[in-house]
Amino acid sequence: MEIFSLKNLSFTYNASDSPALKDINLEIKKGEFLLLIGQSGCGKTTLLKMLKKELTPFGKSEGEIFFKRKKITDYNSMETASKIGFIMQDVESQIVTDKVYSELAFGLENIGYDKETIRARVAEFANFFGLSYMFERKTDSLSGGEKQLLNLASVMVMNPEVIILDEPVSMIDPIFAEKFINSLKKINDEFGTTIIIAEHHLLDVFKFADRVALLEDGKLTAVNSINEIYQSVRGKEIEKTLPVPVRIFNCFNLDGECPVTVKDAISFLNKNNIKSNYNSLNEIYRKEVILSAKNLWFRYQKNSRDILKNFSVNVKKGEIYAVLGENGSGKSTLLNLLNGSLKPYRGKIKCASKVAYLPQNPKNVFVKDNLEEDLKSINNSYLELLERFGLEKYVNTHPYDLSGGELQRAAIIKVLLTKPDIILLDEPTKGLDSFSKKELGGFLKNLTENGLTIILVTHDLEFAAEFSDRCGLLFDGEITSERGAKSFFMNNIFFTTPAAKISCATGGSAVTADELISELKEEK
Amino acid sequence: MKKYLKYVVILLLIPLLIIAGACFYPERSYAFVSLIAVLLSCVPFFLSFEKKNNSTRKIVLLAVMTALSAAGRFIFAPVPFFKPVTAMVVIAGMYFGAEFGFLTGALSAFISNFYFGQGAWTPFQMFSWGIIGFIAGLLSSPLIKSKILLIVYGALAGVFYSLMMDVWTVLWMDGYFNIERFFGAVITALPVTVKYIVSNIIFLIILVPLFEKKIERLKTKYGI
Amino acid sequence: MNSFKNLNPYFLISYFIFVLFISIFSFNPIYLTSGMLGALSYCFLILEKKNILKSIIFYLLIFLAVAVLNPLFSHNGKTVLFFINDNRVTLEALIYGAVLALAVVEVIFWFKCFNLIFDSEKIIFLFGKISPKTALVISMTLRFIPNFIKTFRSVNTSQKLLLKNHRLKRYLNSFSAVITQSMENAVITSDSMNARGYLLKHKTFYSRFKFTPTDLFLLIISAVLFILTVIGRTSFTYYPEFIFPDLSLLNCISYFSFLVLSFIPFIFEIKEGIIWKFSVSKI
Repeated sequence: MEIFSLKNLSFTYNASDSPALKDINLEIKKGEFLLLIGQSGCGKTTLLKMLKKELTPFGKSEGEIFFKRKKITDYNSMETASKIGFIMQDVESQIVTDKVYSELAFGLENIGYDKETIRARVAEFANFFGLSYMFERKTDSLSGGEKQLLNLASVMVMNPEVIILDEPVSMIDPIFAEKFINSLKKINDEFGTTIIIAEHHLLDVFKFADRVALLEDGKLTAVNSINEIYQSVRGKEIEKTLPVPVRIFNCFNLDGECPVTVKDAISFLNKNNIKSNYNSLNEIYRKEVILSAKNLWFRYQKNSRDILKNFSVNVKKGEIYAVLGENGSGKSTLLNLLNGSLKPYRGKIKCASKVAYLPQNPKNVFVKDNLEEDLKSINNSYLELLERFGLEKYVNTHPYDLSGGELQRAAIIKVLLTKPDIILLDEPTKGLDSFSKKELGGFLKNLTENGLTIILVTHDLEFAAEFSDRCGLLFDGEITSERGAKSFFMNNIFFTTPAAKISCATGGSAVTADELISELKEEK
Repeated sequence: MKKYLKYVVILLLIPLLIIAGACFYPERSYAFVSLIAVLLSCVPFFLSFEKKNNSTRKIVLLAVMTALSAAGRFIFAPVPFFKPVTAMVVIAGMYFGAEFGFLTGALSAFISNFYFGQGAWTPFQMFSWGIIGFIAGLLSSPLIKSKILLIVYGALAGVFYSLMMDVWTVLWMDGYFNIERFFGAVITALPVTVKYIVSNIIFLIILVPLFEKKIERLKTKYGI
Repeated sequence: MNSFKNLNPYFLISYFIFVLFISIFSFNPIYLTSGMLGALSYCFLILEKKNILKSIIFYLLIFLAVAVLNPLFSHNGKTVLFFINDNRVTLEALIYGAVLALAVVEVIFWFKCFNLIFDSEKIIFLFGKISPKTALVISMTLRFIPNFIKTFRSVNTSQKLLLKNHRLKRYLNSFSAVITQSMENAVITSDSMNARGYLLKHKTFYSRFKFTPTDLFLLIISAVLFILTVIGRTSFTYYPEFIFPDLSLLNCISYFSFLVLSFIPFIFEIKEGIIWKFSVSKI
């Protein structure tokens, strides 16, 4: 039985002339795990919001949406509120209350369950999701990943028949992202809850999806199993955002079963006797040290634990240095020490150059209502920079209205106006889609060619592999392994990119998807 | 029945407390009556808020405005007596209505005191900021139109808040309205009052245009 | 060790109303002294000793200031001690000042206990029963506050590195950025609430507190002690002449009842401590 069926659905926003969704026909079966992919701005969010009556955007819609064979508009809110769950991308703003247990109880309170039922239900789900340990904690004290798991649990307590998720893991670190997707799979398997999710750069989602729907420019161009969807994306821009195994398969123009996991990809390559072509490492070794930190020790309070312990690093002029590490390993603290807003209690930072810093949320560098006014407050050379990086059309736009990638670039332009020699970036790829990530990476490379040095902290391994010159792993308060980016990922066994894992198993030396594909193509 | 019981209890309990206080401790009855009266005056606002079907956005905005003014007390902690609370409350009243203004004021006082310490002054603080927001809501359109009026209102709000605190000090200390102590308190508090006035005016001048734009923006972007 | 804190908020709020009622309105040095001792004894169990001693010294200064200054504002009283600038300084005003100072400090200490015991969760619970909406708004506000402060810090740091503005100007700029972000995010928060059915009519309120027989027992005891305290005819007359209320049996009971009432937190805490020790030694 289908849980949703969309008939000739079109939608146009009030402020726009062209439709955001065009004539969509789709049947979603009960218990299905449906993955929705498409470039940013293709209408994914709009489509998902149309399925949730309470979130339907303002605008003109045509066609019909049926939920369990009845028009969705014919349901009362009581039914749809609990039957259809919705998780958004913004982890932080979705949380309503100050305590974890009251957040879990919120939906049930709205439906009007009595205290005992709520208590039982909340206890049950806290156990199922392994949230009991944080039951009494303040929501504010949770990490980003924990917050998104809490959001999922707070929707699940209402026992929905379908959960709709709009890029739920793009803002959280990979370890929690994996945990989150695994929880979804568990929900799907054990309760038969239908999952409709928009997300692209995660291997796991592809692994679990029953079907994939491809949305292009408001039109639904393909709905099929992952084994067949590769044909629909072949040669298109979206292909580059798909997981490495799919891309490998696709570059050989074959038919048949498409590998989805790293294991599948390796056995696919072995079976067809395809070997990677070993490229010797050609890493540039720069000499001139621009910033050096020696034996830094830091803690926030007298009695708290040390965040940095005997931390030392030398950053060379003109390189992109990536500091990798888990959540809470002290990456952000490190940047605040390097930019001078925190002081180590022991040790020294030697740096004669001007340092600029970009916080994790790029919104936080803007204080004025339009881009021009904001940049003007630094100095007047902004126009040239905006033009150079293709943002000149946004001079009169509110910075918050820029897309994720544009906002990140605009923020970098703002700190560039102070003419720094070094830029510190905190998780610059957070919330960006693969396309914007590539754009940002190219932008950063361009800057270093002009002599700028960039230090960034990230848990985005693929980004570090593709764009950084050297990488260091921050663990237990110090840099434990530091190498040129390529050898860093080639030498690591666990802490590395899927492309490196596949390449390594087939005798190659690629660490990014693009490298791997080109290695394989050469071989072919 | 059970639903109304709680209102009845509140409405009976408070007058009963007043009578009891006045009977048992007649020499302190003024302090007592004033404290209870101030508390009592907050009750209808909260009850009508509970009953009314406010939109979700309005409820979130109430929490946001309250949190902004409470967070403002922390944020501006390094600058003594320079706090955005009054200005935020006035803005809440101006743009979202009198009742909204009262609730923002009363809740700001109450909630920020979780961090700064509750005391016998909490009810008076709640009442004072509440009334400042309430009147700002009643005067909404003239305040939005005239900058001068806004400045005058900000100054008066500073004076009013300061005087209300002095009234409570005197009532509590003497049990009746000791005019001599009142003047003493007003004079010693004069420098602080001046700082309140200046900070209210500065914050209003800066924040009101900001909110004008923000609200305009929300209207066009989200259709609120 | 803080078991008194874990009692039901219904009992706790009643207890504080009883104690503060007498403390704020009785103005009788005997009540005030016993109340002071009760509050201090509890503070000594819960807080660090160093902290308490520091605050005691601070409040002693307040005490002296209030006591000595009172005759300046109050010239009532029969027994004139001397004149300052043609103003009478009377013995009664001095005594009143001392009692007043005691009252001020005693109430401050009770509120210290109140702040130790009443965290936001208990307040939200109490509001939740009368007005679930207000309780929700308080809970949301408490969620937003730390969030806004974090955003402010981040904006402020990046502003500091970008521009050499005056601190106040930077603070104001950063604060307005916080306002903008918070208003935008409010839209997402309300979407998230609507998605979970906030606009539905029935709104119950969930809390983790339970009303146990211990709570009931303590509530009854406290109420009885409170009534016994209130029925005493213990009004002091300060002006024009200092009159001590007679020590009738009724008044003695009243004094004693308030003494016990003030010590309930202390006694409860000690009792729990002993029970704990006892049960540990059995293991």
